[in-house]
Amino acid sequence: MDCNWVEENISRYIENDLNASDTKAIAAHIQSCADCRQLLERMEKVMFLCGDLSEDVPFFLKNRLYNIIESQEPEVPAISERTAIVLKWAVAMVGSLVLLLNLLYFTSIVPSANRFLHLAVSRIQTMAVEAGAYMERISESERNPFLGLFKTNEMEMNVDNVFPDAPNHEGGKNG
Amino acid sequence: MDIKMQIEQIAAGDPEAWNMIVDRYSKGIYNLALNFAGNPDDAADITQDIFIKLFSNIQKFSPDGNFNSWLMRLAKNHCIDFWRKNRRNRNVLPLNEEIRVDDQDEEKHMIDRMDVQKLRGHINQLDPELRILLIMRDVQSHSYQEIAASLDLPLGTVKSRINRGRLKLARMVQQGDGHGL
Repeated sequence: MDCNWVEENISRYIENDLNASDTKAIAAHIQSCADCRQLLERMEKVMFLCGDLSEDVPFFLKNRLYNIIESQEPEVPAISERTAIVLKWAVAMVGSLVLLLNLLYFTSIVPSANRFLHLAVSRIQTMAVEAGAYMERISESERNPFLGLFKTNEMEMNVDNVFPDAPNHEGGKNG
Repeated sequence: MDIKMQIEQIAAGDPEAWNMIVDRYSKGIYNLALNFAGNPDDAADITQDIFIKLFSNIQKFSPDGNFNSWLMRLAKNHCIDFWRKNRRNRNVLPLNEEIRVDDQDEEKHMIDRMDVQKLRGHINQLDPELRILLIMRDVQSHSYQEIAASLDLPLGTVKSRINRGRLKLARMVQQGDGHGL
C-alpha cells in the first residue's frame, strides 16, 4: 500500500466507510508513515473545526428575508409547464416537417414525392397568379358589382369635372 | 404542512407560509453563503438574493420534486454566479489578523474565533465546486446521499470530490500557519 492510496481513501477511513481489511491496512500504514499520520491528524482537526463554522442568521437579515413577500411579486409562469412542452414538441415537429419537405423537393431521394411536391408547388403558384389577376380585374373593373351599388348617373356625368383646373390630356395631345 | 399547499399560500401572498420557509431554510442557506463567500456582508447579500430568487420562482417548483434539493441547487448556482462575478475583487477576512485581549477567557474565545476565520479563509481559496460540497458535508452535516441528490451528482463523485477538498484544506492549513488550527 502506498501513500497515494491512503490519500484517496482517507475520508472513507475517517468516516468508517471502508471494509475491514482496507481499514486494517490503512491503520497499519499510518502507524509506519509519519506524513500520512500527520495528514490524518490535520484532516480530523479540520473536519472537527468545520462543525464550528455554522452560525445563526443575523437578526437584521432574518427580518429582510421575512419582508421579501411584501416587496416582491412572485413570477407567474405565462404558460403551464405542460403547455410549454407541447408547444416545444409542436415547433420541433413543424420544423422537422419543413426540413423533410425541403429535402424531398430539392433532391430526388424519393422521385415520386419529388414529382408530387413540384406539381403541388406549381399548382399553388398558378392559383396564386390567377387569384392575383382576378383581384386586379375586380379592382379595375367598371362592372365591379360592389362599386356599382354606390355609383349614380350624376357621378358618372361629373367624373371628368373632379379636377376642373387639371390640364386636359386629350386637349394637350391635340395641341 | 404540505409543501405544495405552502407554495400555493405563498403565491397567494400569505406571509405566514413564507415565514415558515424562511425559518426552516435560512440557516442552511446563510451558512452555505457565509462559508462560501468568507465574510458576513457578502453572505447576507447572497442569502437575500437566493431568497428573492426563491420567492420569484417558487411557482416553477414541481411538486413531485424534492424542495430541499431544488433550493440547494438554486443556492449552489447562485453562489457560483457570485464567485464568477467577484473573483477579481474578493473580500475575504484577513487570515493573520492581530488580536489584542485582556481577559483570559476572552483570549480563548478570540483564538477560537481566529481559528474559525482562518479556516473560513482557507475554505474560500478552494475551487467553488469543491467548496460547496465541503460546506454541505462538513459544515452543514448533510449525508453524501443528500448531497448527491441535491446537486445531481453520482455518489462516488461526491465522495471523491469531498475527499479532494479535505486534502487540499488540510494541506493549506499545514502550509498556512505554524500555530493555531
